Amino acid sequence: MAHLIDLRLKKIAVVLAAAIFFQVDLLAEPLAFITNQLDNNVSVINTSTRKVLKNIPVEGKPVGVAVNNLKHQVYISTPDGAGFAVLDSKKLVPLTTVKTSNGALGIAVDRTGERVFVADWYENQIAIFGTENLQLIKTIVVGKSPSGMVVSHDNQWLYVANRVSDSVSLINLDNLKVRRTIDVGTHPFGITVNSAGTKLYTANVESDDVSVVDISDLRQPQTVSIPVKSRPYAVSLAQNDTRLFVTNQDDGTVSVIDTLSLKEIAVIEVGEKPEGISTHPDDRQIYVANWFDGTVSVIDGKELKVIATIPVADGSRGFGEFFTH
Amino acid sequence: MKKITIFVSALVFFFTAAVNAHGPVRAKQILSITIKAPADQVWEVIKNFDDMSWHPDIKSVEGDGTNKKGAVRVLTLAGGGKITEELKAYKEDKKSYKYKITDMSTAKTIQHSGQSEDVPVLPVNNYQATITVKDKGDEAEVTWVATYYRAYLNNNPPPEMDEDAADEAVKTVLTNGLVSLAKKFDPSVSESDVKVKIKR
Repeated sequence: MAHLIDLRLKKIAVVLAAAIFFQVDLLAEPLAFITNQLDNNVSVINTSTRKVLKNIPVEGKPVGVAVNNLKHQVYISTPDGAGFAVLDSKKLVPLTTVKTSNGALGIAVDRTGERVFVADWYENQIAIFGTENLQLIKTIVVGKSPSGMVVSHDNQWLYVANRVSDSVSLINLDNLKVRRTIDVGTHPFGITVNSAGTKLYTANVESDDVSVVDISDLRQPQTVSIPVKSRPYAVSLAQNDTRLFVTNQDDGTVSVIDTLSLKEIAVIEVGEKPEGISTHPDDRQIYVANWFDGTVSVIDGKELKVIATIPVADGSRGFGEFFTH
Repeated sequence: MKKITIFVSALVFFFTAAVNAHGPVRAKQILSITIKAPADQVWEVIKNFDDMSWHPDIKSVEGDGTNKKGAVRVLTLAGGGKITEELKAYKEDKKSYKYKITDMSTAKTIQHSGQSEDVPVLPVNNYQATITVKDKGDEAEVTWVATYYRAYLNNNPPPEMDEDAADEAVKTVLTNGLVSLAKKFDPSVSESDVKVKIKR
């Protein structure tokens, strides 16, 4: 009898353990959502195991990605589908698609999860949608070929890199108007902002540099440029904003910039055609999507070296902030 | 009056939509061939960056004799024209190297949308490629992967500079190279032995 109970207990324990394991495996956060442009899907990476949990099919050459942590949704821009797809970040399934315009590329979501912004690089405008009903709220004309976007941590500003105008638009999120436009290097693509909201960083594809724009006084913004390697694509901050990581598309590397001295302090070899880059919520690991290799490189932002390479799918791009937290 | 305005803006919208639907997109072309020879022997033929005597479309190469990152080679094509390429990475242990086109001569100048356009000898832009020999026991698998944009970077490309022209030109030059390389070991090889995948 005692033996039987013991067995039963063991069984329950096994079932429980399996259940817990399954839960952890599926819901382990943060997850990384990597768009794979050439394979028409999105790889979801469990960042604890550094393995792909699932590839979610998304038609239309997915490129941009934005995560809405509050509503558990992920928005994926699809330039060939003239709009964006909405995914459920818990169930890991596609929910719906939204039509915008032909050049839907850059995508971002505000910090309260209420609005999603889609940059159209042909129409030179930003379309703003409410996340509740996915209806268009407004379109705002910016510079030519808007691409990367980022929202300030205080949710007051949307910053837009205008690729062909060589500038950045600062949009006030209270009145949804462009407050001002600031010149940067040639063909800015990716953009990020520090948590204090005082500095913008853009990766300038044609001038092979990063622009650092001090916006603490909006009447007198100060811009400094830092040379990096060939055709920089996107940028991400880590380690309490002390380090900026820059993907160099044509060099197969990531430049590391010390944000205090404004010097390139390291160049880390990653995969071929590194493009999208995001910092893990632990503020230490940096994930880089390598378009040519179809892999993601994981960089230790403290030791400044690659600690893992995760195979995803062809044409991995991950353009945007792609982690849940 | 109002109706007319709406009609006109709708027209403008559809027109721009149609025009803009074809911006340049980066392509990836993957070609491979299996050769009945040890990988080391195949690598021996192609491993020097400034030696392309194995490629029938290339008449001569000028280089600096090194296989170091940053080395430059200038190819003179059999059909006329020159291509300058820079070595971006060289991995002896992986039998692989990566290079990039940095300059090309003009094949011809055409008129398009009221402007003169120079068509480069290889009608592509921002071209980068990697060639790798993989050890498959008694055989070697050579993979040549190229990534590029079409030559025309604005919307509405002329046929000489569109996606099809770029794909076809790249496919031809890489296929000819792989077939010629394989024939050094197995004369029975033909174009149909080359596997081609184009993604965009």
